[in-house]
Amino acid sequence: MAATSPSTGRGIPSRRDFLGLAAWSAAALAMPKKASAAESAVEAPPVLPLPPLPYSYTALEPVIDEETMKLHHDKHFATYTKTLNAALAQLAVTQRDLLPKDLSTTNAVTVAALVSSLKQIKDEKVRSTIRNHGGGYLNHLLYFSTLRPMREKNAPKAGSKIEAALISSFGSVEAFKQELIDKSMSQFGSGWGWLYYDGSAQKLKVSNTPNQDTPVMESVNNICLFGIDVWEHAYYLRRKNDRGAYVKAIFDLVDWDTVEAMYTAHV
Amino acid sequence: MRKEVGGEGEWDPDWERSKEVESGTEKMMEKLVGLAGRVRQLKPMIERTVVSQEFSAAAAAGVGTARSYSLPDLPYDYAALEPVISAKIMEVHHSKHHNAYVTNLNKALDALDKAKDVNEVIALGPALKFHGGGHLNHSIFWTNLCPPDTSQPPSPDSALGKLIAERFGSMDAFVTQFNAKSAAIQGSGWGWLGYDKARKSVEFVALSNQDPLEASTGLTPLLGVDCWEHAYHMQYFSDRPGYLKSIWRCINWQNVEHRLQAAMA
Repeated sequence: MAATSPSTGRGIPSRRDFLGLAAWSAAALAMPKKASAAESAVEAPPVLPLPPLPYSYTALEPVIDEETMKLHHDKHFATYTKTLNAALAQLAVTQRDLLPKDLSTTNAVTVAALVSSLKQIKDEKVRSTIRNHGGGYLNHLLYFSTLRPMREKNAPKAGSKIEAALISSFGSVEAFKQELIDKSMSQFGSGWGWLYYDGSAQKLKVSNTPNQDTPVMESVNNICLFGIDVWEHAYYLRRKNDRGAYVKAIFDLVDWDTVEAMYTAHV
Repeated sequence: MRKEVGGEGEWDPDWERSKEVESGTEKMMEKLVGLAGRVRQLKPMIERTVVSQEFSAAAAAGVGTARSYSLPDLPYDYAALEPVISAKIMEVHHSKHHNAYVTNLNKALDALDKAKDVNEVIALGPALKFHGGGHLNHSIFWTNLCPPDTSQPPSPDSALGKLIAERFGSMDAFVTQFNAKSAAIQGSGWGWLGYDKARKSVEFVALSNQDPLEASTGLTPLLGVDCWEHAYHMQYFSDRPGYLKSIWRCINWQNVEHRLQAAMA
């Protein structure tokens, strides 16, 4: 940990800590092997901690206000984490083979493996919870770790791999930006706008999904790089029903260095 | 000779240039007859707009589109539902959210009129459902609400009271179930009490986004509760269960019963 958060008193993870967690969407996920009889004795169910914000609650002002950051992280993200943990505890009893041999190593990679093949979860209620709250956990982990304090003329670094890929896939960085804005605006109701790498097509794409769905659910070869949360709780306090203003402004906050690092690590 | 013009909605400019009238009285008579004729010409257009659900002033004057929906007024002030729902929420919910559904519904209808082929027509489906549903649902919602503690729940021998008891066991059980299922809606949606005309019973249904109850399920809407975050976020933040618990103080049971009577007729 590089520093201590003034608002929570907890260590602020460095970018590096988050990168490890952000690797969950890599195509090379391997499912854990079935545990032996001796090892599958009853263990404490896995408990995923709520990942702390990498910055203070005020860090994203004036684009995203302090109160929204507090609610979004301490209430919404926390609820997704708590409810996900309850579902993981159930899986630890009913479908132990879907979780790591050593339960204490359960992390975002485990969750990504679960949401990318929901069909293998037999209980309908647990499947639905993993979809909504596993998705919610991963999406918010990505969201908070790919935002940083506002920069004037925020853009990918000139000559970076992500810049080259955006130009190659969309024609220009501006064209990508407009497409992601359009997708985020076209989502009826709650959902997300996405920039992701389609591992099968081998190019960057944008899309929108409802509720807490993510491109990883369509294919484990999709690597999410940046998501715009367009649930009303993400922007309502400051912008009311003006989703457009929030979606445009959030580009000032994109942490292109982290996006670049995730892209180069997995492509 | 004055030229009578038949044909629906056609205005004959030659009428105004008809032969000169010598006296002032005759001029006045001419004007009055002219006006009557004009009303006769516009009658079909006026009838069309009166028959359609709501119409803007522009449409009634013969200018603008034949179908144009408009934002209904609230039956109470923005502050009337305090402290259950804040004035600020009511203002933004009505003047911004509902208003936007109306605006975008009208835009989609315009686009529908101009659609060049079947593909374009079909492509407008989701927008029509979303914005049309949004307009419908919110129009019902405003009438389902009233100032806190001003409306008595239905008595057990009323038609509504009996149907609720038959389906849910009791009023309390109904409210508990309504709230639990509405709280559980993922993302945005509505909790509904609907009337099944065929079975002569009531049902709870949760629908997502702005999916309209009648078109989606065939049930007649009696009571809807908006569970989108915009309905409660500025006051209750992430506490949807708290909002649901409180809103029952503001349910206009007379309106719900009135809707049931209309559905049973």
